[in-house]
Amino acid sequence: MPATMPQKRVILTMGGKGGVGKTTFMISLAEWLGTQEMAFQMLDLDVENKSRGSLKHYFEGAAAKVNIHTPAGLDTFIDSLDQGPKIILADMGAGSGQVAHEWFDTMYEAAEEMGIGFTAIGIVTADPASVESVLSWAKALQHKVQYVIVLNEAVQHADFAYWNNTAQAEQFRRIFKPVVITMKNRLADLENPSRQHGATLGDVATRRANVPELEKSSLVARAQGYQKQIFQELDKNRELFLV
Amino acid sequence: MVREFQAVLDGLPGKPPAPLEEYRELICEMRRRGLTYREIAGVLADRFQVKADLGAVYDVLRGVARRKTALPSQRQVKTERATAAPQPSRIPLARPVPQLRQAAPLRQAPRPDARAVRTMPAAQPQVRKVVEKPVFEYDENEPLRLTGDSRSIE
Repeated sequence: MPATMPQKRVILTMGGKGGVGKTTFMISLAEWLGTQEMAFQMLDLDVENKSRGSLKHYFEGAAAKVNIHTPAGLDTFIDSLDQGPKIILADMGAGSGQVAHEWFDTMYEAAEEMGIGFTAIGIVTADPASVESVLSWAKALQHKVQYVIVLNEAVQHADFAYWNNTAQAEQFRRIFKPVVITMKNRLADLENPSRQHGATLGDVATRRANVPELEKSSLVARAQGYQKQIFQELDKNRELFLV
Repeated sequence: MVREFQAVLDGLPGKPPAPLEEYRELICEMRRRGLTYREIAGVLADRFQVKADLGAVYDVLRGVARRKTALPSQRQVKTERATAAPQPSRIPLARPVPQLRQAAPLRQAPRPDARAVRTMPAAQPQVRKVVEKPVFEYDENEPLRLTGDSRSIE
């Protein structure tokens, strides 16, 4: 990666393992970017996640659905950056690895010359498969991207032993020195109706969700707390998300 | 066609050629010789006072690649990756451009692009400084190996 800040940036999830919280994190990232007075484009590249739970479900109209299984593949990155905002949030779906890896093999050099930098988000849970997925992507992408690892405490007292204490993950950390962010465990009473109704943390925190079960003061306070925590983590590592 | 419609069509101005179209062959040749997009844009600015950003250079090359992939004869060329998913535009760009130097138009009616090709040193070696970075090796078939204390340290 170039030592200087890129002129444009693609922030993509490493979409290998399904259900680890890729979209959940991207929603928070989108809301944080919204506070930075920086225009950005959201691309929903999750072809598996068709309705609820996809980025488009939360940001109807603002998130463009893109089918990456076309001959041009991820050229959308370049074309969108050429014509629109300088930051792209790309939520890759589970199983998007091969397409993404082939695209980086052939297009990375051109993208780099155009001043495009890449931030790859890997979501790790207690499930070893989530770690394996990140490592597989890193093997393919190597130093073409800057890595951010999000430790998603999907359950209380989540044990990240396979991230913290395996030889392979240790090698990954030593070589790439990824930024590590923690996403706190969220109350099911908040998380489930939010998914059902496509309400973001910000929607709930500011009582804009327009969903009765999400208007309880305790849930509003919870949402505010979760959002504050993740925003603080993003603030600390802002250079990986901005241009 | 209705005569009125035809009259409207006849009255429309022709679409102007793309700004870098006349430099297409030159751009392709420079790319084949290993010049980066930025260096290509620099040559165009220095030699022809053509202001071109990297995206415009990319568009020209991508257009060439798309034309090539559209030709039936090109589809018959088998590559090692023939069974892989259709590739974006960089694959055709890596191929040599055959007979460009022997092409009659370049000799009979020299154009700006032909002059530039002649004055550039052939097959310039890449002078980029490459900093060796450690390669991350990972065997997907090998299970994750826990080391020492398997409890969380975070």
